[in-house]
Amino acid sequence: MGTMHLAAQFSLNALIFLPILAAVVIWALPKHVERMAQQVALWVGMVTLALGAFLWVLGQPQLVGSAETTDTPTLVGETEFAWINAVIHDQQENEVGGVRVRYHVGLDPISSPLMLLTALLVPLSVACSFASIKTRVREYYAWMMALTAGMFGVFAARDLLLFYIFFEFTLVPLYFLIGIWGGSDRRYAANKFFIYTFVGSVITFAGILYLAIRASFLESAGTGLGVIDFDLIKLSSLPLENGLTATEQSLLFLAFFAGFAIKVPFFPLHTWLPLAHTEAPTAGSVLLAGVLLKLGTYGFLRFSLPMVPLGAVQWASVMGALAVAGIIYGALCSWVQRDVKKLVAYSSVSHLGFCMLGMFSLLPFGLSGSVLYMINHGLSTAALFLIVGMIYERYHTRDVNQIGGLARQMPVMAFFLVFFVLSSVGLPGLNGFVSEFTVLFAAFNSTDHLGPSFGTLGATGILLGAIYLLYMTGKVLFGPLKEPANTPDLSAGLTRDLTVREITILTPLAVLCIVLGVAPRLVTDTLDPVLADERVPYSVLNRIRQARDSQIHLVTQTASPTSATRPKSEPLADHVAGPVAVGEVIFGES
Amino acid sequence: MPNLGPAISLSAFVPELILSAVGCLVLLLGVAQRESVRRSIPAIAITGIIATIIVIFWRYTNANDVGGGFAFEPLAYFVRLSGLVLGVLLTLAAWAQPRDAERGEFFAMMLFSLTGLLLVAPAANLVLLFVALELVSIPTYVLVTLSRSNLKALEAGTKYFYLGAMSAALMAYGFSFLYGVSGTIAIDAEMASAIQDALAGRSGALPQALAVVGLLTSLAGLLFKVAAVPMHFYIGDVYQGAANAVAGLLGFVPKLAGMIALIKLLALTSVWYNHDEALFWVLWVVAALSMTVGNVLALMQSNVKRMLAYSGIAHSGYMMVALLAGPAAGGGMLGNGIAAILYYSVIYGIANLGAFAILGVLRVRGQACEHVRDIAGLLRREPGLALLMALAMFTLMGLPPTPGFWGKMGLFGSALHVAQHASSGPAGPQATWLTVLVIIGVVNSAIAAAYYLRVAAAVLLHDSDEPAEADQRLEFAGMGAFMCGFLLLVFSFYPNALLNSGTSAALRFEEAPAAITAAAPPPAAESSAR
Repeated sequence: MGTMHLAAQFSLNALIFLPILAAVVIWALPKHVERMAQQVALWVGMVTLALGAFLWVLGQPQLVGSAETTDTPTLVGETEFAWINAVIHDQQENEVGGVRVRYHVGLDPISSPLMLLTALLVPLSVACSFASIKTRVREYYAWMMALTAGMFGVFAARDLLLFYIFFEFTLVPLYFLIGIWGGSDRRYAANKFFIYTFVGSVITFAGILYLAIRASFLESAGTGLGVIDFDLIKLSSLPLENGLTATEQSLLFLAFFAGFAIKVPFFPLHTWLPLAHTEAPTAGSVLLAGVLLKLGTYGFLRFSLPMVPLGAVQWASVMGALAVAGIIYGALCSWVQRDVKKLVAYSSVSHLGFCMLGMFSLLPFGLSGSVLYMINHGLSTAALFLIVGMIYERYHTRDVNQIGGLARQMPVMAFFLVFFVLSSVGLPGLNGFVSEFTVLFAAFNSTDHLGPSFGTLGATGILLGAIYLLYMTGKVLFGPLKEPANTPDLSAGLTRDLTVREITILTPLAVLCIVLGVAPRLVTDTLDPVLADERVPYSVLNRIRQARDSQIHLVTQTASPTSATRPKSEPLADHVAGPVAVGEVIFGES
Repeated sequence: MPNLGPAISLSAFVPELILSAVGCLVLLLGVAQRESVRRSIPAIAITGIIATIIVIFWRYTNANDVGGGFAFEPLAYFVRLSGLVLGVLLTLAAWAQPRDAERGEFFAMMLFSLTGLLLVAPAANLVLLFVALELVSIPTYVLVTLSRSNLKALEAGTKYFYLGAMSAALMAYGFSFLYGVSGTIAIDAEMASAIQDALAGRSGALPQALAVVGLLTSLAGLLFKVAAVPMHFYIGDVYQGAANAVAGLLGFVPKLAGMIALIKLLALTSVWYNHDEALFWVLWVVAALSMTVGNVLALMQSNVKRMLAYSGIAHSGYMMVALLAGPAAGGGMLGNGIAAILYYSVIYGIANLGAFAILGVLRVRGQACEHVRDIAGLLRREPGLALLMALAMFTLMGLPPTPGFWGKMGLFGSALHVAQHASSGPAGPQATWLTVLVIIGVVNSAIAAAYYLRVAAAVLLHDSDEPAEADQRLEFAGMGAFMCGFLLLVFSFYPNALLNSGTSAALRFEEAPAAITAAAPPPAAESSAR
């Protein structure tokens, strides 16, 4: 344990600080070795991938062989020290007030797959920029590296304020990536993206402050003589009875919603996304779709659900309705797009709707399906954006009316495009199917919050998804050959079909799509126990169950104050009796 | 209670004495025959300030001299140190600003104003507080007028002077009422209990009316110093007319002085303890309006100087949220609003000065930059200054992890903390309405993001055929800007020292006044009998 733990600590912190260091180095490179920026960034990306893979393996008990014996699950690479330490002591050296913000990082099975996804997409998105970025090269890769550090920080943070800092920090590099290297409307897109997300997250910030202060009052029994800290575990295990009231939780949920839902993006708040995606450079789109949108869903899962579970339970139906609306609206918007990139962007709105639908079923397999969905969406949508970028580099257009029949010109690209489209629409055997099926299954079964009507309406999204994606594929790949004049433009060292570099970028994603399609248990086997761990009072599903119990308690108290017996929540006991693996839902008990 | 009692040793004032002596020296050297002497004036001024800092570190870190109407306590230490560090930055930023003939006056006025700031914090009676505040303000009227040679500066100076004189008159008028009500000029527990009795109507109707008038008029005078609604009308023209370095000074020196005076004034009342509801509402409305009006006005500007000026109103509003919360909750920067204000005013001062210093360095076709389009495309020409400008904007915006974020966290957090406290105490408006004020503040910081981002976008994203470039003769101003940026970076990742010294400076205010602690268990008892 000793050396392994040290190695894990080192790797995790290197994931955050190495890219920052790389950003500084790249920025400081002299002008005449500008091309080295690409190499440095790529190498740093490869190193983070290796470190990420190492950390992920450490988090797999069946691979490492160290079965959990303690009641508190350990975090991979856990590192902790006080960063902001403005604590007041009394004469007896007791802490009687002040504030403490910790630098506390560590990975658990919820965050480690998302971390690995980030570690995979970073080198790929660096590699895909080689041909397209020709101006201000050093700055570009420096911002890419800064963004990388922010993304790793978000997933590793175990302190709510540290999370928030990384969450906000990702705005700045992406703002520059879109605003400097984006398309023709880039400045408007960057400003809209920044202001939209900033508005949401300052409201979230007020919620975080309120929650932390309230928690210190609860902890010190109302005297207020406690240190205000933002520890994840402490804030996720506040008492639900005689603690935060239902109204407070409801409002806090809305405050968290403001920041996270804009990032997801949830249906009525999604309008920044298509614009940002369309204007962003390919690498920006890849990271935006692959990782940054997940910050919102991850935020819901990691913070909203366990910290204000009563609020989550109260709002679950509304969230479900918005998710379904997003699924259908996003799909219909995709259908009518002529710009392929915009089409994929709207499809993200639709797909993230599925993810949220699964999450707010508040069922074990709904939650794990939702995490799986995050990863699958990250893989296939990132790949689609990459392919769109490759087409754009050759034809300088993304208009489906101007290009067509490319399958004959670019058979390898056609193979990959069809492959990832199929993965995205949920062809059984590929990754999309498992998660799509699970979240819809959860929506059908979540009789408390969602129910069959949500499932049915959500399922139409699959149908629509197949229509718009296959329709686009057909127009781009098949039929008579259509190419704009003077194209393909091969001046940047490209070939007519995909180059070796481009094939190398797409292949790992394709392999992972198959792997996760066949063996989703790679993710869910470690994920399910953590989501529903009986021994861990702050695990998401325990908190949800507590919230339901306290809600029932409240209802019975108001309805019949004399009845002392508290009805057991029978259907809930079934749901959380044991972790139900996604694999079992789909393939049955083996 | 010592009123003007024991004499205080002159050695307690050594830092202030050095500063004013250097001011006088600079004033004399300004009329020296030889040009080389006149040219060395800024260097002498900055040497004087640095010498004062060294003296403070050497002898006065734990000064606790009380007497003669002064009380040198941790608050005075905090203001001394932060004021002087900002003074160094200000001198650098203003290095080449004044014309040769006025260099002596300019830097002398700057040093006198700083001296005033250093004396506001220890001033422990109304007369000295008034004198110290005017020592802050009167040199700034001169500075605004002297700083540039055009008509706008003259207009700005005149406007600032007349309105400032009016505010001083209001303040003096209010202070005299407070003296009349309490019968003492010493700002101490005796005066506090007299004013609290008067406000609560325990001493009769006439003292109550006098106390209300006295508080409101002195409040109005002080709101002018911090440029809060409704005393904000001068700020746009004055900032625009003044030279950039002077505008940077106006964002820090009078603001911190005014805030400290406001804190001292409110410590005399019991508004922090859920009493004096009328005063609470006055301040609540002032805070809400300052944030909203300031941000809306700033949003409409395309002139960067005016934008920064109006946003200064909003920043005063944010600070007033914590001022309203007060120190009652105790417990450092997320509880003691005073600590949060002290921290925030320093950070705001640095970021604001940094932005103005950068504007001051830049030239487009030989002309000074004022407009957003003037600074477009700066990243291509001056990458360092452009990034600094972005850092200053992100700090003012409150984006984590810039120090502006820690500051906003303190301001809003202390208000929420006090609201929590109040919800378990006696009924009062604090519990609900402080939370509402925080929500207004948060929404306002989102509005502010829009116009700060406009500057950041112009500097970093836009292109320009004729990007601004740094005036090479202004190397010291550039150095000042870089030092501002350096400090902001330090306070981003290591805010502990500044936070903790702010906390200990504000510790004195945490003890509830005797009338409150005595009156708390039996409500409204006549416990304050002399």
